[in-house]
Formats: sequence, C-alpha cells, structure tokens
Amino acid sequence: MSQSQETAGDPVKGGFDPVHAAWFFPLFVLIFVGAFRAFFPSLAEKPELLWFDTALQVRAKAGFAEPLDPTIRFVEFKMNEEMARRFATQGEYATAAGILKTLAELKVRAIALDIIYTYGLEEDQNLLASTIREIEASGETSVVLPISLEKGADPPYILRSLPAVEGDPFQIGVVNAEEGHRWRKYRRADTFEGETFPSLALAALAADRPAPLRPKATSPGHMEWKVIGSNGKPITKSVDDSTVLLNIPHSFNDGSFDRAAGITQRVWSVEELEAFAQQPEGADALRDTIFFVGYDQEVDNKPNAHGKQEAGMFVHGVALNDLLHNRAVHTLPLWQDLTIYAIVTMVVAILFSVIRRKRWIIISALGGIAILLLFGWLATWFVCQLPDSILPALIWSGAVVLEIGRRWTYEQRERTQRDAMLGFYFSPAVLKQVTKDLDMIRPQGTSFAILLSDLRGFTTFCEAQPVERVFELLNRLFGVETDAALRENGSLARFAGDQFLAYWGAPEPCEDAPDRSLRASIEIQKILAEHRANPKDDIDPWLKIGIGLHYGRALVGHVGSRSYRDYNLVGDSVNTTARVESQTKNYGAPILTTGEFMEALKMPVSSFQVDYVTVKGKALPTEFHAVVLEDTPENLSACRAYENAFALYKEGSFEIAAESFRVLRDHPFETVATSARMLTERCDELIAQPPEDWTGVYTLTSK
Amino acid sequence: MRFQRILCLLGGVFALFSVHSGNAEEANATLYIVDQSPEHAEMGGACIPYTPLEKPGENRELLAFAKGPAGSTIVMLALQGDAVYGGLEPVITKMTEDSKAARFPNPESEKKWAFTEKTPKVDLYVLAFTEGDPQLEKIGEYLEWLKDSLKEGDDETAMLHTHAIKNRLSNIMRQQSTDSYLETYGDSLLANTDTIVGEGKAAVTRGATKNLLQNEDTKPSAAVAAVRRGLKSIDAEWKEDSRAIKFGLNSPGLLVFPITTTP
Repeated sequence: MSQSQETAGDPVKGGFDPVHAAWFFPLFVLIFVGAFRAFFPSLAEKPELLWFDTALQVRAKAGFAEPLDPTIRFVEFKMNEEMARRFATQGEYATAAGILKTLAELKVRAIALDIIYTYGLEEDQNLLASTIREIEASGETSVVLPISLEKGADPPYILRSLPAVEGDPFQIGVVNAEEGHRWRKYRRADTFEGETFPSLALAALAADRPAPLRPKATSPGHMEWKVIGSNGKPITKSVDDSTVLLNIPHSFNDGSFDRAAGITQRVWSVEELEAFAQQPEGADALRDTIFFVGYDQEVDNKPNAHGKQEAGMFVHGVALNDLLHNRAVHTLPLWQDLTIYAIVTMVVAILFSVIRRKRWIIISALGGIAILLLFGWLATWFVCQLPDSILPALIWSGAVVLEIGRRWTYEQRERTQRDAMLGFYFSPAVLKQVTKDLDMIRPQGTSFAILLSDLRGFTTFCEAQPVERVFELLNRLFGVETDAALRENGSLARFAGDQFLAYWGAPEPCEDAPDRSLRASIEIQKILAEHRANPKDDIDPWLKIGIGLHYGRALVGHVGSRSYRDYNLVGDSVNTTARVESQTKNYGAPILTTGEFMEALKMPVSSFQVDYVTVKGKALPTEFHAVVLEDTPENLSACRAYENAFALYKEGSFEIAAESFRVLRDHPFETVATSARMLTERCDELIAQPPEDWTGVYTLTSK
Repeated sequence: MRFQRILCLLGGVFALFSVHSGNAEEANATLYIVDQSPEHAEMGGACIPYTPLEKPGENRELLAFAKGPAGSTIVMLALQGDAVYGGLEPVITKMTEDSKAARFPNPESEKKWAFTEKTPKVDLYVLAFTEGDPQLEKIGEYLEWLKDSLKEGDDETAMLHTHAIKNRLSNIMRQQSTDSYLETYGDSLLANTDTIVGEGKAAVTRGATKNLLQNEDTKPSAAVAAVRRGLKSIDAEWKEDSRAIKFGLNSPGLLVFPITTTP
C-alpha cells in the first residue's frame, strides 16, 4: 500500500473517497452499531445476554460455579401420588399449612411461598392464614406470601394470596419475572399504581431480618435498608425497580451440585423434609435458613439461563443470593457501552492505519475480538458487570470485513492503473507474466537487445507542417513501431521526440532477444517502405527512419518521482545504440547494428560490415553492420565487393581500397553506395594524411 | 541436611494434623439461678443450676460461668430474638493460666440479669474458640462493634451487629454435622429434660426444646430439687455443675442455654 492510500480526498477530483481513508469504515460501523444499540436496545441486548449465558455455563462446567448462600433452601411440591392423595384428603391449603409447620419446627428463619393461594374456599384460606400467624407468633419463623402484579390485564390488578383473610396484612413479595429472557432478568422492587412492592427475594431477605431492619420504600420504586460495612459502620443498601441480571450459579437440576449434599441438601421434597424433621439430628441442620416453597419443575417449569426447565422459585432464590452477596450482574449504562464502542473503534482505526498486510489485520482482529469477548466474561465473573462485548466485537469484525474490501478495491484500482501503465510498456504476453509476478519488474541489470529508431527529416517536417500533422506523423510511426515490437514480445522504453526505444531481455528473460529485435526492425522498415511506396496521403512519404540495434548490458527499473514514474532502460548500451542509430543516415542503412549484436544474433540474416569506428564519447571501437533488407543477388554481390574493399581499407591499403569503394559509389543498393562514398572520401583523406599507427579503426568526430 | 529437612517436613505434617484433628480442646460452662433471698444471705446467695422448670422470682437473677484452657477465648452473649437482651454487653475473655471463670453478665458491669416472671425468652450463647481460630476474628470484630454501639446507645446499629453475629452463630451450628454435634454436647442433651435435671445437668440446647406449635406448658415444680451452692464459694464449685464444650481450630464450641420462665 502506498502512502497515497492514507489520503482521504482525491487530489484530482477534490472529493471524499472512503477507499483512501483507513478510519472511515470503523467509524461507519461504530455509527451503525451505536445507533442500533441506542434505538433497538431489546434487540441489541439479545446477543449480549446469550454471551452472558455462555459465561455462566462455562463457569459452571469448569467447576467454578459459586454455591448459593447456605441459608437458601428450597422445598418442591412434587405432584406425585402422595401429594395427590393429600390434596384429595386434606386439601391443598391444609397440605401447604402442614409444610409450613414442618419448616417452623425445623427453626427455619423465613419461608417464602412461590405459590399464590388465591382461589380457595374462605375456610381453607383462613386455615392457612391462621397457621402462618401461629408460626410468626413464635418469633422464630417468618412467612412471605407471593403476589403477582398483573399490569398487562385490563384493568390491571394485583393477584394476592389469601384475599379472603381479614386482619393484619401478611408479608408479601412480587413473583413476577420477565419471561422470554430465560429468567436472567429480575426486578428486585416493583411499583404498581404508585405503591412499591419488594420482590419475593427481597421480601425473603426482609423476613430474615428483625422488623426494624427490614427494607423500606423510600420513594416510588426505591427501597433501602442498612447493613454493616467493613468498618463496622452501618451502610445503606438499596434496590430500585430497574432490572438486573441474575448470576445463576448453575442448574438446580444438575445433581452434581446440591442435591447430593446429604442432610444439608439444597432442594427438598416434602416427604424428605417431613422425614428429616422426625429425626433428632434435624434440630439444627436447617435452623435460621430461608426456604422457598414452590411447585417442582414439572408444574412450574421455567427456562433458566442454562437451558433447563426448572421451578420458578429457584429464580427468587438466586435473586436473594445475589442480594445477600452483591452478586447481581448489572448492565452498563448506555454512555459507558458507547464509550467502549468508541475506544474499540479508535483502536481498530489505528491498527488499520499501522498494519499493512491483510493477514495481520485479520490476526489482530481475531486477537482483539477474543480479548473483547473474554473481557465480557471476566467482568461478569469477577465484578458482576456486563459490558457489551458482542457488539464491540461486531464493530471490529464488521470493520475488518469492510477494511479488507476497502483494501481489495484499492488494490484493484492500483492494479488496473498499473496494468494500464505496464500494458503500455510490455506486450500482452509479458504483461501477463509481470502481473503474475511483480518482482519481475524490480530493478535489474542484464543483457538486452536494444532497438532505437529516429525519424529522418523530422526537423524539416516540423518546420513546414502544422502541429496536428506532426503528431499525426509521429503517432502513425509509433503505431507501426509499437505493434511490431510488441508482436515480438518487446518492451517499450520511451518515445522521446521522434525517437522510439524498445528492448528485449527484461522483465521476462529472453534468449533470442537479438533475433526478436531484428525481426521487429525488419518488419518496421518493410511496413514503412510500403507506406512510402504507396502513400495514402502526404505524410506517408515522410515515414523514413533509421534503426540502430545493439546487444549489451543495461539496467531496467522504475525511475522517476512519486508523482511520475517510468519503467525505463538506462546504461551505456542505450548510449551506444543511440550512436549507432545516428550513423544510419551516414551509411544509408535502414538498420545498422553493432558487432556485439551480430555476435549474439542466432537467426540468419543478410548483412555486411560497413565500418569499424570509435564513436564519439566511447573508448572502445565498434563494428557497424548493415542489414540487407532486399537480398537480391545484385545487392549481395555489391555487399561482397564492399566487404573486400573494406578488408583492404582495414589493412591500410587505402589507395586500392579507395578505388574499390569508388567503383561502388553509384551502385543502386543505397547502403552500399552511401557507405562506399563515405569510405572513398575517408580513404582519400587517409592517403593525404596517412595515420601513424593504423589499426583499422577510424575515430568519428561527430555523433 | 537432607535428613533435617525431612524431619522438619514430617514435623510440619504432624503439626498440621494435630491442629486439624477435630475438637481437641475442652471448655466448661454452666448457668445458675442466683437466689438472693434473705435466707441465703450467709452464702452470698444460693446458686441453683438453671433448668426451664425452675421458678422465677423477684430475688432471682441469672449468672453464667465458663472457662477454657489457657489460650482459648470464651464468648458469652444473651440474645432476645435479634436483639441483645437487657443491654447486657457480650463477654469476651481470653483465658490465661491464672484466669478465673468468665462470668456473664460481666461482674464489672452494674447490669444484672433478673430472672423474674417478666423475663422473656432469651438465648444464652456460650462459645469457645481455640487460639488463632479465624472465626473468632470475625465474630470478635462484630462483638467489639456491638459493645461500642451499646455504649453509644445506638440501638439500630447494635441490632445490625447482633443480626450479623446471630447469622454467624447459626452458621456455626449448621456447619457442625449431627454426629459432631452429639459428640460435643453429649447424648444427654437430646434426652428428656427431667432426666437432665435429675442428674444435676444444667444446660439444654435447642435440640431438646419442645415443639413450639404444640404449646405444651411445662409446669414449674418446686419439688425438683437442685444442688444449691453459695455464691461466695461458687468459683471453686461451679465446674461440678458444668457441661463440657469441645472445640478445635475451625470448629468452635457452642452451647446454647434457652432461657424460658414458667410462671
């Protein structure tokens, strides 16, 4: 990813482009999830509650479930044959009264009934009521009766226990708990028509305390009581009518917990309790405990957080435990959850800005999400707080998905741009290789076959023709050259004025680079010759070029600045090729090559050495070879004659060589004729001023 | 060197077993009705071991004695329901070699524990803790706070402390299995009260109380003669009427005297 990716605005268009902004998608997801949390709280809490469930279950399965307070016990009314017989013979109310008496005999401190006795006969209600009053008169055991706030009824009403009984009111507790949340949610105090009622759990706690110390309503929906703080001073505890999450320690149906705990067992059947009360050892084992009495799960089945069906009284027992030990789990206020979201978003945005590789984006996201989810569990287990962890994890994962998409889009754009750019340089076959392996276009030094052409008479044409025609000429020429070079899998280096530079040997290695470059050169010259021979307009006659070919070591790679780059060829070989090309008109050669090129060439070609010189600016001599495009017998014969003359010239027999060249000056083969004219003049010059140390190499004084 | 280490390890293990080997220590406690009638003036008052059958009277008051081995701590506390009875401060006494029996009510306090017909139902808790028992630290802290509250006359705070203490006492009783409970207090605790009185045993526990719902009044009987001792010489004699309380580390001894008056 390049630095420009961090720039959000498109410098060309001036508008905002999210593909260039690492922070945009985390912020986008934050706003989306934050709005979801704020406007759809009941939907947003569901995944958090599921995660909370998982935390409870994992803790229980790991064996770290907190046992309930030892004072909290349960009696289940199992609807078995014995209970059916008692109901038939004694009646339901008398049976309940009998259980209450048994519990009182066992010195139980408080009994909270989770059965609303409301529709019985008046005498049955009075019987149960008198038993309760008798028990409470002992001063050792208190009884709490349940009520249900039927707020959804029309009109709303309170379903009370023992409504037909007159006299002093009983202690009461609300048994309503929110359905549909697997009994995690609990309201510890509730209000109805301005009056505040304790939940059954809070009422049981009250019954366990002396009257002056019982919770009292201080304002609607708000109840307070005092306990001793760690410094021995009284502190005030309070609950309100908001909901908390119960810290359900385990399933009470799971026998591995309390049911197998002998006489101190947690859940008792009526028969077990009555039998225990008959034993002398029952005297103190259950004294001062708090019993919840209700029907068993078969009758009063409620789904708990562990996915079990259990009696509803367990919910109140757990709520009491949470009250006694401050173990109720609280959700965080909206602003705190939103703060967590914001922090997560910030971290994610920073990571996106810092991390370059997609792999590490995903790995860091997996780690971060795991930390978030674990954070939710730890907060639940150890500090009884339930921070949102699923939604922040959703922010992170959503941001990662969008970030990957963003990077993919960005890369696609870059790839498209790069392909467009590279497609200009390389043939489709080479481009295919390059796009598969971008390392191919890393800077490298190797041997290249280099083709450089130059338009003859371009300056004259420019002076005489309008601009449009100049460019028409150039584009027509470059079109021919480009097509020919690319057909031979060549790479284009540059167009500079009327110059065209192509090369073979990189980025893809090319064993027959000289052959390919020569084939391209011949094709170019033949096409241009055709244009000249059959001109469609007055531009075609100007399509005359000289091509220089050289084979040697050069460097290729990206050069330029951040704002403009070019994949280009540099090195001495390029300069040599330029020197060769500049000599084509002196020798009348459409294609002039160096000796190195001819040595590397594998394909057969008709050519002949036209000269052996040291070009300007170079120390070592270079052979010039002219390629014969029309290898007619006459041309080839002329070439042999020229070569013979050139051999004499190299030996220093300038006079004989001059005569031989002179014969060829008017030969129809233009290359031979032009070269012979130049060599004739040079021989005359050398005859006039013989060189001291002739080695066959002539030094050119101009480019 | 290695041998010494092994010896040290074995010694440590042995010490650990010694400490956790159950109720290794024993304290004693008893409760008297002290009759201050003029006819007992010579004795400084007659000390009659308490039974529920003993008749209350204007000249009668209750006095408890308890003593443990040196290093142990004796705690005595009278509760009426969830409140300290009659403002009687709890007694916490650390026993030394020279210690006399701890008395309740505290003799240094001017408050007496009258045993009259108006005396309500009260429970006297006698606890014995061995040295270093972590439960003593917790209960002791609450007891000190309770004493401060009583001195300050802060009834509500005192009740809060009392409630916390009572919960701890209930826990102690519940934590002891039935077997160890019997072992601590003896089979006779579960036997008929009359038998206990006849044998001169003074204390009863909640395990021997009647079913409250049966509401069977127990008639006082002057014919139930008890051993009578003089208050002046009681320090030397109280132990003969006492009941043993076994205790150990993490297993404090607890004896409850439920005081009821029968007019």
